[in-house]
Amino acid sequence: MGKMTFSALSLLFSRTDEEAMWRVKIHDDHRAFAQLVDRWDQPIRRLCTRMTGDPHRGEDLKQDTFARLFERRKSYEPTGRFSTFLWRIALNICRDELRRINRRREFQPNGEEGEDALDILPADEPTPDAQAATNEEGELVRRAVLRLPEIYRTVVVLRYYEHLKLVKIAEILEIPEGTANWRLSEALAKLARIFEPELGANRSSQPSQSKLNKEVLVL
Amino acid sequence: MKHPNREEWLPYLAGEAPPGVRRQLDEHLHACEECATEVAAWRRAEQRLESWELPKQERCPEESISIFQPFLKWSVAAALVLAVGFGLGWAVSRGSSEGRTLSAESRQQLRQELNEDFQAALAQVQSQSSNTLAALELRLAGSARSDARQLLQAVSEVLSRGREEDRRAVLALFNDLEQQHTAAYVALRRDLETVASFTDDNVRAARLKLVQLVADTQPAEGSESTTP
Repeated sequence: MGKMTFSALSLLFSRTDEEAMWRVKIHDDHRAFAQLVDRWDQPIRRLCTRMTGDPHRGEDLKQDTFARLFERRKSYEPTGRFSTFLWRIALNICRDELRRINRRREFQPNGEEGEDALDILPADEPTPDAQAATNEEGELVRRAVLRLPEIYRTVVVLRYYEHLKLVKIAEILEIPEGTANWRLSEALAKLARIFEPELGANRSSQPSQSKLNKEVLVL
Repeated sequence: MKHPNREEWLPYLAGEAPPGVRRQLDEHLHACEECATEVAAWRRAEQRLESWELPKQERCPEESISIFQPFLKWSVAAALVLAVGFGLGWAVSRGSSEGRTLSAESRQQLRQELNEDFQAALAQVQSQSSNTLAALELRLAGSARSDARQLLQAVSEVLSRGREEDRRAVLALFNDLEQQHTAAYVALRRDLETVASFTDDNVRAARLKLVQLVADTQPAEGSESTTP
């Protein structure tokens, strides 16, 4: 009974993410865990939805992310930011899912030779009845982002949809800041060509890229 | 003409390039049509990205709960075990003819404990929330119950000196809690009965004993408090 009172009082004083995760790690504190899930539910859902282009899948992957977060609580080091730890888990979950999806897909005859099987979700894959975008233009953009190989899609989602700084993106992906910068600029260049195919080849593009660029965007 | 690296354009696009660099890039754009076309296309791509909005999602309370199903199961199991413990304890204490007296004594003790807890709790809530107090409460929330009670008693002594009106308010709150508490126990016993109804004769006999307990204590509770 006294414990009820303490719990009610303790909820008045909200913890930082790092404090809460520490409590989850050391005490298996499910209330602290619930706080974290509550705060990060929407950002993780957005990330998973945009990486796969599918709201239902995104919802499932979000649940998987938090489940894995709890599973992996012992490996959380409080010297690092909690958000970094969580973004990484979410991105790994998305990556695993994308691999799984692509493994099941039949080989596309006019397929993207030389591309990693991990890349490019078919933009015309039928999505479940739930809307994946709220308007026509949004749908166009969704397909464009889905055409990006996974490593480029990742930086685009983190930068332009979650508004993370480049330093933070580099930290999450465990790459040098310069690499993150390069990937983002490369992603932008690819997107520009998907939106406006008449732009022609990238200055620094590979031969297989220009073949991709000449394909008309299927709407 | 030497064209800037693609990576150099990114901070420029974000408006984060240092003034000197920005001026240089501005000048290059004026002079170089190729780069101007490219950079403009990137800018348009950046802006188009914004139009991909996700449909708002209704937060389903069951969703967050589903994640904690394992925890829920354990806490319900723990609550049931506690209730059984209490029930059995009461059954034992009621075995003798002085059952009623013993029950009253333990209830008195319970009341006292709750009284202390609530006194201190109310005092804490009413006091100015200083950092020390906040930290103390955070620690208490996580620490063992007996330790917490000791600390709470010390705090309540300091804070509740001479606050007679607060004491009365606390007792009123306590009475409310006691009613809820009683109602909760009755509900728990009811749940226990549901569970026990699936077991063998031995447990059924124990259940009957518990039911008798409830019947026995009802009059005592009725005389001490108003209807919940």
